[in-house]
Amino acid sequence: MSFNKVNKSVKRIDAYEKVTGRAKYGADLKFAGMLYGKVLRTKYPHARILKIDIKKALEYPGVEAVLTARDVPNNQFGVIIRNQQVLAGKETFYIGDGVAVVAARTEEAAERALELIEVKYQELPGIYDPEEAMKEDADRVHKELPGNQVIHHPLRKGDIEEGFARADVILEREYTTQFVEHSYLEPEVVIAVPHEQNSLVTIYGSVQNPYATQNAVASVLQVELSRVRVIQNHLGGSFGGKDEVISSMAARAALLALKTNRPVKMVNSRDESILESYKRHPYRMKYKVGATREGKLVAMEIKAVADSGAYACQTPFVTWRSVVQATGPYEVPHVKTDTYGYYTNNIYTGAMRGYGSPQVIFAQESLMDELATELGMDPLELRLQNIYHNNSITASGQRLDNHKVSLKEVILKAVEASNYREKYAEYNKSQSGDKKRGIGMAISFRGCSLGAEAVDAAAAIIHIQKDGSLDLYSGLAENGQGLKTIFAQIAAEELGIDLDRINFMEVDTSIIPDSGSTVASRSTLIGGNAVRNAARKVKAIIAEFIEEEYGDEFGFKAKDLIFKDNRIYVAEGKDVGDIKEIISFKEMAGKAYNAGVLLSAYGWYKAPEISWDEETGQGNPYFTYVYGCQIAEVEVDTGTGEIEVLKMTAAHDVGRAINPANVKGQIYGGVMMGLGYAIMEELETEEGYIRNTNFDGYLIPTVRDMPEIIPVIVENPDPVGPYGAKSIGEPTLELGSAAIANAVFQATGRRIRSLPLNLERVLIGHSLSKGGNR
Amino acid sequence: MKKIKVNLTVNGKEFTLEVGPKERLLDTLRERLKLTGVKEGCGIGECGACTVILNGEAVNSCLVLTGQLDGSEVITVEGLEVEGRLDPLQQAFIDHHAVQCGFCTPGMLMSARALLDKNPHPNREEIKRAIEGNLCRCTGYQQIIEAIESVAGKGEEEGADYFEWDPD
Amino acid sequence: MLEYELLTTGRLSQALEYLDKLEGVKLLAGGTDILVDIKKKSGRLPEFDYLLDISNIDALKFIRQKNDFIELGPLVTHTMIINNRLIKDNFPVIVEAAKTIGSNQIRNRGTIGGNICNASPAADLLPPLLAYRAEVVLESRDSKRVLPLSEFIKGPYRTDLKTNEILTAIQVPNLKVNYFKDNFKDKDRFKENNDIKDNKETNNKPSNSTNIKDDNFKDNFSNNFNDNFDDHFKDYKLNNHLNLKYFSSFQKIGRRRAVTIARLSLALVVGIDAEKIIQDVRVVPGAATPYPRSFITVEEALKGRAVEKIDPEALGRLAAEEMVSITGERWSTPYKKPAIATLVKRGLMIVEKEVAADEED
Repeated sequence: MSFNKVNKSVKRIDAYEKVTGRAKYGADLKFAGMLYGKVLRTKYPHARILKIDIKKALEYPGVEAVLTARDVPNNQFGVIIRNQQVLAGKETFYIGDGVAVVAARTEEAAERALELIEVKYQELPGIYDPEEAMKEDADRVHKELPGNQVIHHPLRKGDIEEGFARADVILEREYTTQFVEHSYLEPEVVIAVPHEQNSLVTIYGSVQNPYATQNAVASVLQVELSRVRVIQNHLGGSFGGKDEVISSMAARAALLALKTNRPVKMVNSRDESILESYKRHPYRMKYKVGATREGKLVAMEIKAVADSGAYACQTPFVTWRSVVQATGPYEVPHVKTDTYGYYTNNIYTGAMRGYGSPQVIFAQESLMDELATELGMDPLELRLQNIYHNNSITASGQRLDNHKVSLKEVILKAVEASNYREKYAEYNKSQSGDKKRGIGMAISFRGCSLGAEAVDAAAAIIHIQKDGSLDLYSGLAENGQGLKTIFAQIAAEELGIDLDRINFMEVDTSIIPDSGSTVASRSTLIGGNAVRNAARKVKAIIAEFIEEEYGDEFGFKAKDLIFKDNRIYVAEGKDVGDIKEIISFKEMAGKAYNAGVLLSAYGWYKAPEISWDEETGQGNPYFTYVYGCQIAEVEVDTGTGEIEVLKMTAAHDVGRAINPANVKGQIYGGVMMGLGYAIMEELETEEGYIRNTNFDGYLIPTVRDMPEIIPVIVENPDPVGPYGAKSIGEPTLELGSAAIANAVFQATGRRIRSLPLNLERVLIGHSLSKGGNR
Repeated sequence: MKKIKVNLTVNGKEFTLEVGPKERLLDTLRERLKLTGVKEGCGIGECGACTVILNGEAVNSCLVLTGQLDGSEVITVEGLEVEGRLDPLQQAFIDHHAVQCGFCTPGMLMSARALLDKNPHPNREEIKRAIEGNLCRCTGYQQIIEAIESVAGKGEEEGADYFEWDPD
Repeated sequence: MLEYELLTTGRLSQALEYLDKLEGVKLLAGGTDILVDIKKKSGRLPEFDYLLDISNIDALKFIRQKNDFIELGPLVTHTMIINNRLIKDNFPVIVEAAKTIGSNQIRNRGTIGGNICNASPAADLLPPLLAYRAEVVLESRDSKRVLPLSEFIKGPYRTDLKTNEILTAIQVPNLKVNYFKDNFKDKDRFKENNDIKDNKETNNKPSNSTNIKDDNFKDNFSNNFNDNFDDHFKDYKLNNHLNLKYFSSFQKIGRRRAVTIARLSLALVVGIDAEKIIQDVRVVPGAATPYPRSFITVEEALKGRAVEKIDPEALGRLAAEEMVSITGERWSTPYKKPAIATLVKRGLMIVEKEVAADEED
C-alpha cells in the first residue's frame, strides 16, 4: 500500500510554535483581574482536623477569598470510586491533602495568607504499608468503607494444583517496585475563569483529560456538564499524570473564581507538584512458576499487591491491566493470579505511562531469566519455547486470532540488531577487573487502548473553510506525544491535501463530544479512526457535489474521484496513474459553499466488542495487542555499584507507523523513562512523608545517562487500526527495567529483585535509607 | 522595600528596571517583559527549562537575581529569531523531531546556542555536556542531539578557541 | 516569610564597609547554593536582613601565578577553572572536580568561593583544594588573615568566616613548596608570598611559564632555608631527592552520570622521588565524613613506601576503617565502607599505572 501523507516522517505541526517560544502553556496565560490561588496542605499524613481559623488570612491585604472544605458543595470526586477530597474536611489521609485555598491579588499575598491560616491537627497513627493494610485487624484508612481493600482481581485458568504437579522445576520469587514520579517538565497549572461566554466557569491549563476534569468540576460544583467548559492548552508533558491532580486543582480554582467572581490562576511549584500529585503504584509481587525440565511452562501462580495510597483513584483499572499482562506473553496452561490494591496513608497512586504493566513485567521477565538459570537454558531459547503465536490462548482465555501475533519476529529482530547471541556468549565468559558487562532482554504483549476498563470511543470534527483550509478538532488531547501531527496526517491522507492547510484546534469540551481520556496508547488507534471517519464523511459529501457539478461533463461517478495534491482528479485512460484534474480543493470549497453544501462532519469511532468476567478473569479483554522486545547491554562497576547502560535495542510492532520519526521519538523517550525506573528513580517516603520533592532529590535521567538506543520499528498492519496502526507510547517503557536487571545479573551473578537498581542494591545487595534499611 | 535600579539589555533591547530584592531574572523576563518562552520547571537550577544566555553564557535564570545584573546582556528563546528567520538550531529542532511537549525546548535551545557560539563544531560529548543540565522527559534526548549535531556540522567558520580563559 | 534588602556593589572596599556597618548580612556570589536555600526555605540558611551581592566585584575575579602559589579569586567560576591552563597544568584534580559540578549552567555561575564558604560535606572542590593544601585569604575592613583551608572549614556547612569578612583569595601552593611547608612547618618563608595585592606583572602568565621551576626553587630554598635543615632533610638534599614527581587522581560516585551530588569522592595526590618512594601524599575523600579532611592514617601508611610495594586493596580497607573511626556507624556506612575502599584502591592503582607509564617515557 502506498501513502502520500501517512507512514511518512512529516514534521510536527506544533514544532514551530514550540521552538520560537510562542506556544502558550498554562502558566503563560493571563486574564484581566486575575487572582492567584494557593493551597495550604496538611502538616501530617494522617490527622484529624480539629479547627481551622482563616480570620487572619482573610484580613491580609490583597486576599480576596479563603475557602475550606465547608465551602465545597460536593467534596468527593473520582473517576472510578468517588472518595477523593477536594479539600480535607475532618481528616487528612496523605501528606498532599489540601486543607484550605486562598485567592489573592499577588502570589506573595496568597503565600503569606497561607502562613496566617491556623489549623489545629490531632495527629493520628497511619498505615504506610499495604501488608499492614490487608491485615484483618488493621485500622481502616476510610472509616466508612468495610476494609482497606480497593480491589481484588482474581484470574483462574486450568487447574493450578495439577499444573504444579506436572512441573519438574518450581521457582518462587518475590519482587518489589517503588513509587515513581511522572516528572513532566511543566508543573501543573489551572486557570478558572468565571462566567465567560455563558459557561459558569471555563477551565484552562495543563489538562491531560479535559472531560475527566469537566466531569470532576461539574460534580464538585453540583452543576450540569454544559456549564463547565474545559479548554486545553499546550501541555508540558503528562505521561498519565495530569488527570485527578488537575481535576482537584480545577475544582479548587473554580470555587475560588466563583467566590470572587474573578479569574483565578493556580500554578504548582515543583515541590508542590511532587508532594501532591499521584505516583506510579509500588507493587509487591509473589511469583511461583512451574516448568518441565525441557523448559515448557506449565503453571504460574501470582499474588500482586499494589499500594493505592490514600485514594482509589485509578487503582482498580491499573491493577486490572496487571492481571492481563502478569503472566507475560507466554502460553501457560494453568494460571492463578490474584491482584489487589489497598488503601494506605501514603501518597495516592494512579495512571502513569505503562499503567500497571511495568511492575509485573519487571517481576515476570526477571523470573523468566531466573528460571532459565535454574534450567541451565539460554534465556532467549526459554522465551522462544513459550511465547505466543497466532491462535495461542492467553491467561485470560483469549484466542489470539484476529491480528498478526508477531512476537517471534519482534524478538528475532531485536536479537539481530543487538547482536545478542554473540554478546551473551562473550559476557558469559569470566571477565577481569571490577567492571563487568552483561546483556539481558525482556518481552511483552500489551493490550491496546482501554480494553474492558471503560467505553472506548472517540470523536473528531473536520470543518472545511470556504477557501479549502481546514479546522480539525479531536476529543483526544495533545500531550506532547505528537497527536496533532498524526491526526493531521490522517486527515490530509484522506482528503489529499497538504498538512499546512490543516489547523488543529485544542480540545474544547463545549464543541467536541466526550472522547474519553488520552490514555492507554489509544489515540492513534481510536482517535485516528475517528478522524479518518470524519474525513471520509466530508470526502463523500465533496465527491457527491463534484459529481453533481461535473459528472455529466466529464463522465464519472463520485466513487471514481481521486483526492491528492490539493486537487481532485478522475482516473483517465487505461494505465494506472493516468489522471485528469477536475478541480482544485480550494476552488471546490468555494463552489460548495456558494452552493450551500455543508463541508463539515463529525467522525466517531467505537472500538470492537470486548468481554471480561470479573469473577474468573476470563474473556477477551482487548481487541488487539502490540508486541515488544527490548535488549539492554550494561556495564556494572562492582566496586561502586554504578551501572552504565551502554545500549538499548527496542523492537516494537506498531501495526503501522503513521509517522516513523515520531515513533522513534516515542521509543527513545520511553526507553529513557524505563532506564530511570530501572536504576535511579524513587520517590522516598517515610511514614507517609516524602523526602525528595524536587529534581535535586528525585533524579531522572540526564542526557549523559543516555545509552546508545537502537529503535527497531516492526510493521504488521492491524485489521482495525487506521492504516493498520496500533500503539507505541506505553510499550516503550514497560520493558527496560527487567531487561536491565537481567543484564546486571549476567554481569554480576547477582539477582536484584527490587527497583531501582541503585548504588546500594548493586554493591551491597540491599537499599539504605535514613529511616533504616529497607 | 528598597528597589534596585538595573539597566539590562534583553534580546537587543535596552531596559531600565526598578526591581525588588527577590526578583529573579526568570520573573523579570516572564512577568515584566512578557517573554514567556522562558519556562520554570523546578526553581532550583536542576531542570534547565529557564535557561537563558547571560553575557554569553548559559545560566539558569531562576538562580540569578535581576538586582545582580546591572549592565548585563540577556538573550532568550524569543531573541533567537532574527527578522522572521529562524535560528538554524530552531529549524534543526523542527526538522529532526527534537520537540515533543516542548516545555524543555526553549532552555535546550539556549544551552545549545551558547555552546555553538563558543564552539561551532562541538563533538557529541561536548554537546552532551552542554545540555546535561537540561532535563527532557519526552524525547530521550536522541533527536535533540541529532538536531544540534546537524547544525554543529555545518558552516565554515573556525571554531572559537575557548580553552583559555582570558581574565581581561 | 523571608524579607531582606539587596545590596549591590562593584567595589571590595564598599562591600567590606557594608559588612563592617551592618548586621545580618549574607553574601551572594554565583547564587547557585544560596538562592536554592532561599527558595527551599532551608533550615541551614541563617536569618539575614541584607543580601550583599558581591558578584560584580571584578577585583575578586582572577587567576594568577605568584612565586610559590597560584591564586584564585573567590568569584572564579567552575567554568573558568575548567578552561584555565594554569590550573589544569598544575592542579589537574581541581579541574577534574570542577567538571563534575552540577550542570553547565551551574558551572557558569557557581564560584570557587561559594563552594568553599557553603562548606557542604559533598562540596566538589573541597577534597582537591584540601589535598593541595590550599589556604584562604580572609579580609575585613581593618584586617587580613590567611588560614589553611583545613582550619577554615569548621564543620558541615560551617566555616571560620567572621561576619565582617569576605574570602578574597584562595592560594594553592605549588606542590613542591607545599611539600616543604608540610614537612618543616616553617611558615615564615611563605609570608612574603602572601601579599595578595593585585600584582600586575605576575598576573596570569602564559601557560608555559607556569611549570614548577626547580632551579628557582632551589635558589630560593638555599637562600631562605639553609639554617632550618634538619638531618632528615639533609639526607634528601644529599641524595638529590628534591625532585618529587606528582601524580594525582579524582573520582566521584553519583546516583546518575551527570548533575549529581557526590555520593562519595576522592582526591588523591602523590609525590614520589627519583627512587619512586612516596614522599608526599594527600588522601582527601568527599562526602565520607561530616566535612572533607585528609585521611591521615592512610597518608601515614603510604609515606616512605615504594610505589610498587604498596597494597592498594589493603589501603582501601584502611581508608574504610579510618572513615568509620571518624563517623561511627551511620545509615549510609554499609555502602560507603566498601565504596571508599574501592576509590582509594583505584586511585592508588591509577597512580601506580601512571608512574609506570612515566618511566617508559
